[in-house]
Amino acid sequence: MRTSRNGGSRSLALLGGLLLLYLVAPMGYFLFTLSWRDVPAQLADPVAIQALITSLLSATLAIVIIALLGVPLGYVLARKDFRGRGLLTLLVYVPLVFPPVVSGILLLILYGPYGPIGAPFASAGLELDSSFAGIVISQIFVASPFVIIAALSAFEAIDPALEQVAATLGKGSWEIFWRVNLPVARNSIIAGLLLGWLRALGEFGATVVMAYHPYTLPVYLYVQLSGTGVSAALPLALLTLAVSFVGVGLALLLQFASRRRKLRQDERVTPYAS
Amino acid sequence: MLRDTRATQNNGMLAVQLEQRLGNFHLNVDFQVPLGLIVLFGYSGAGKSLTLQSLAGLLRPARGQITVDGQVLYDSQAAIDVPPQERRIGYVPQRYALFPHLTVEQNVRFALPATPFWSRVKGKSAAHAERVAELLDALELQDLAKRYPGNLSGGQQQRVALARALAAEPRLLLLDEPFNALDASVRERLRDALKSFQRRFTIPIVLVTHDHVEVQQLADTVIVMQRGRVEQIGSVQQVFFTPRSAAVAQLVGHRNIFGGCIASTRTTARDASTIHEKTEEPGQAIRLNWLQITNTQAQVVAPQSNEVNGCWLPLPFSASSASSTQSVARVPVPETYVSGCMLASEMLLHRLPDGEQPPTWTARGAALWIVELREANIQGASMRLLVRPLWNGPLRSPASQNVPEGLLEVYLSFSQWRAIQVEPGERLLLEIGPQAIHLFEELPPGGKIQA
Repeated sequence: MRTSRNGGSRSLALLGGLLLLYLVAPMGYFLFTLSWRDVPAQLADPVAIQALITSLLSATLAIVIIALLGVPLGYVLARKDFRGRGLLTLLVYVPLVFPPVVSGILLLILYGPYGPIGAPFASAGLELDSSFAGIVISQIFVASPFVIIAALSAFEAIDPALEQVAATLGKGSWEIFWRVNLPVARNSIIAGLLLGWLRALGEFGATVVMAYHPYTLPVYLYVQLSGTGVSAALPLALLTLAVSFVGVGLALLLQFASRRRKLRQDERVTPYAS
Repeated sequence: MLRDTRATQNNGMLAVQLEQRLGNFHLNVDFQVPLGLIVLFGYSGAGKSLTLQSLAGLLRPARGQITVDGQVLYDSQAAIDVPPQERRIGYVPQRYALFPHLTVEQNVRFALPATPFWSRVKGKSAAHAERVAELLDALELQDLAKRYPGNLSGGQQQRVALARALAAEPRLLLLDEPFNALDASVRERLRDALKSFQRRFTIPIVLVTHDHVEVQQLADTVIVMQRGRVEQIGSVQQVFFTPRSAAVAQLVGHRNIFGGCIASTRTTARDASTIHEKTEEPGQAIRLNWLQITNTQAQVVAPQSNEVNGCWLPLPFSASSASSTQSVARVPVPETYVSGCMLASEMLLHRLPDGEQPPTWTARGAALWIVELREANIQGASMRLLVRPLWNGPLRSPASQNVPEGLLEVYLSFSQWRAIQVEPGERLLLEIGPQAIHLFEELPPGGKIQA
């Protein structure tokens, strides 16, 4: 029996191509069927603009908070050796696989008007649900794993000898973190932040439970879809698609850049004559 | 603060005494050597790198004391543990660990104290810049100042790492296998460069390596480590010419290592005055030991010392065969003979015609070993011999897979032998140089020398 070596890789390509087609087809057809003439008018809808602003602001605030707390957490999980580190790392992954609605429910129980944390705020007139704060709370919950995991693996990949050398050069651990670890891990962390930001921006499930109002873009999209129909939601969908494309593109570019730097480093393991 | 009494006496010395248990591995190191180019030498897993890291303060030993040039850096009893930041010990790890996000210049600059942006005094920055430029200049890195480590060759990376370590003005420099990451073709040259670097900056160095060529080329003092312990301390000559154990002999690259026993020993100080001599070179007195052959026995005596024992080696002479005018022959043997390592200054290999007894010896034939040659393979100028010793002392050969019982395998490189008499088909008389053959009493019975 003759099996050409090419035949094998060709059938693999075919299988992969099928999935790729499946992924690309909806986007392509969407762009094809969209009535481009109506797009500007529909995007001028003040509610839509308000929703976009809410989304951008909340996602940005959420990612700033995640960056301030999540990067140190990633560092600790990557570098410090303590009991229960494995369990902690597992917990970090969990929000990633929760159904977002479940996340929303869990958050609502705690931060809602009758929750142990939400109640005091509510009685002071600061509602943590159905508010801008509620949006940010749900976005932090679903988006932080991206950042923590990115930071964790970036810090883990750094040769501990760098820190040891820095210590013998008289640098304290705080200075080493700022001047060695953080800059070396920078690109991977920024990529993680971008992905987290996009995740926050597109967050729907948890947000719709925690804070139906004020509308974020995905929630408003859903409102339009269930109220007016598909045609009304299409221009908003276009907007989110565009933002996603730019964001993912940037994230991939950064990851590629840092991988290439690492590759260049590795090539020199057996270096040539000086 | 408590000061150890050792501290004040230890100027110019590196005194280390460490104990640390890591899983199954037990590090127990104790040495005190003059600062200079100190080489920690041993197989990987001997505990060299751990010792180095303890010196730098990156690893805290369970017990012990570290003193560099009179300054106590660690003392478990006095509860002194100077943090790595304040030890002023430069550390260059195996792959140099340059900061990949900084240029060559910035890497070196990193070692200087940071000037925070709110207090950037012009003068201070300028002083720093000058110091960096000086170091780049000294290590011929000016042209690479703006390059990133990823774009440098191994040799260049090494120079950057050295410049960076020097910038912090260390009192001691630690180099962990500095030539490991380099091509063999570059190593030789960079070893020379390191030696001149050390002379130029007059900085004490502790270097870790498993390469005996590096030791020969660089070391002022060698510390041989094995399985977490110090096996031998000494100069290059001492370690190479008088390895204290079979393991050290193997480590330094000797090939003909045999287990054997000295038939009897006795102090022979009384002979000292008569046989002490000087070498022919004027102004350089070297103590000589003599291999003295009387009728049936060879005697090695060590003059000038009551502590060193002479050795009696039975030789297969019959009284009649040695009864010529040369009944007592003297053959010089290096001093190193007595200190544990058995060297044949001259070795006679004799190929016997079938059924013949060992022949009578000429004066030339004074020898430590008399062997029967069974097989000789001469490849180029090197030789592999299979020999059978012609005396009754027990003699073992290590790890002898392909060697028949009772025979010894001997490798001789081109510089270790010369033929002094060749009679085709009958006799091959070889003179074998010192350092060619090593005999140890304590060779493990299994024959395998452990790494």
